Amino acid sequence: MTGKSKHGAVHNKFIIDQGSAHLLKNKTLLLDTNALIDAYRLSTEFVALLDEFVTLGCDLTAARSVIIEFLGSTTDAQIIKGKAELIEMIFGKKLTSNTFYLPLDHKMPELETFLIFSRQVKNFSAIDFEIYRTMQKYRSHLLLVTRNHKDFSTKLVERISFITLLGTAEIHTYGVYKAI
Amino acid sequence: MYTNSMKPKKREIPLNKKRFLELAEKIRKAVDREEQARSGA
Repeated sequence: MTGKSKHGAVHNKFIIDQGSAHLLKNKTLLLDTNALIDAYRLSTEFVALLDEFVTLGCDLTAARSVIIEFLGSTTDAQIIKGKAELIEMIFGKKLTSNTFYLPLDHKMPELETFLIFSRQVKNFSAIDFEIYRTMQKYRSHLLLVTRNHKDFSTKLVERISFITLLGTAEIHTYGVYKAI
Repeated sequence: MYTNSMKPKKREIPLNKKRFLELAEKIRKAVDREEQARSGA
């Protein structure tokens, strides 16, 4: 399984489901923390996938809490600095840029929004809830890319595609989700 | 509602693949070292 992929073709470093890859075209992809971890764990495969996202015309973004979780999970200043530089290369913009995050209002969510989300998760996570609210707000153009399949079940979101990173000793499969 | 002003701008920082891979390796090693130290290995 080799060769440069084009809209869903097979690649030796990743696979985007052929039947649904076109649904990613020109969309903004919201990357979850697990995708950022794979950026340095499966870096060769991840870089190849970034190229494909460019080919598909995708923009990349992340929730603020995801970036904080990714940067904050260490006590080593050098790791934080390195991760910050990596993030800026992944998203193609400065962390301090006004356009890094999609604007999200700070109004208290409706009771129904809390309940819809909390009824389908094992443990409530403020980070996942922020992701869900961002997906809801930008539902027409935004797709979530995550390996957290349990907390974004198809009771809550629609799985429209999937992507697999083909590491040397690991295979990581992401769901691509759209708010219902 | 998703408007153009809300849409993130296209890449302002170019993707330097060589630098990306070097940095990723550095982070990977540092994180592994930190995790080993935490677990007392």
